[in-house]
Amino acid sequence: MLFFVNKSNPSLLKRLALVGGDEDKILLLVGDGVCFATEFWQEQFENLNVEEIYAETDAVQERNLTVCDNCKTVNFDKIADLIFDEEQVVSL
Amino acid sequence: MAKTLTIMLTSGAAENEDARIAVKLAKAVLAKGNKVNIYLFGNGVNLSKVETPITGDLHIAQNLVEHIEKNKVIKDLIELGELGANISTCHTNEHARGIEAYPYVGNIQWGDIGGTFTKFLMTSDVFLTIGH
Repeated sequence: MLFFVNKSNPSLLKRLALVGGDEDKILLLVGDGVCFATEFWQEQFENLNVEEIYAETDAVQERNLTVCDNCKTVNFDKIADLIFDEEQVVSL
Repeated sequence: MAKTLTIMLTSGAAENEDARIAVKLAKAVLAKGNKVNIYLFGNGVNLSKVETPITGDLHIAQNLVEHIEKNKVIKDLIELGELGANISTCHTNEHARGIEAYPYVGNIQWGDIGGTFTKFLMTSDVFLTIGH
């Protein structure tokens, strides 16, 4: 299940658990959502079965963020593929 | 086979990056030969209208003008329409903002939830809401 995230609200964690349950999750982070790609959030994401994390490249650079080792930075060309690869896509 | 993305954009210009994200994603999806529908909802309907130019001194510093202009997406929406995207508004949201009578830019069309949006949803592979 892929989650498209454009916001930095910490309530995201509760909604991930609520919507995703025990499903394996992929996070696709754009805009302010890329803040969740930092190391700080990773322990919590492990408990939520977050398997993959993608963050939009320009949004990361514009915010001067360092993403965690588990995160791949991607451009919109790649994002255009990712959204169609998964059976379920949820925007949060 | 081409897939279809529908984006419901609920943010307008200058509030945040949502509109910029939506147009960048739409362009990328179209470039791969897929289809895009954009439904402008909430403050997103403000993006659908022909801008009335202001003449004379704007009383805004030039660097701020340049920053503002750079983030306007109306021309991007026009381009998306020319590239084949279907872009409609929620006319009720326009009415609530007093802009329903103003002309649409490019190929943007009048729309409604029960007709236009429902049709977009029923013919889409992926639906995203981009807003705050």
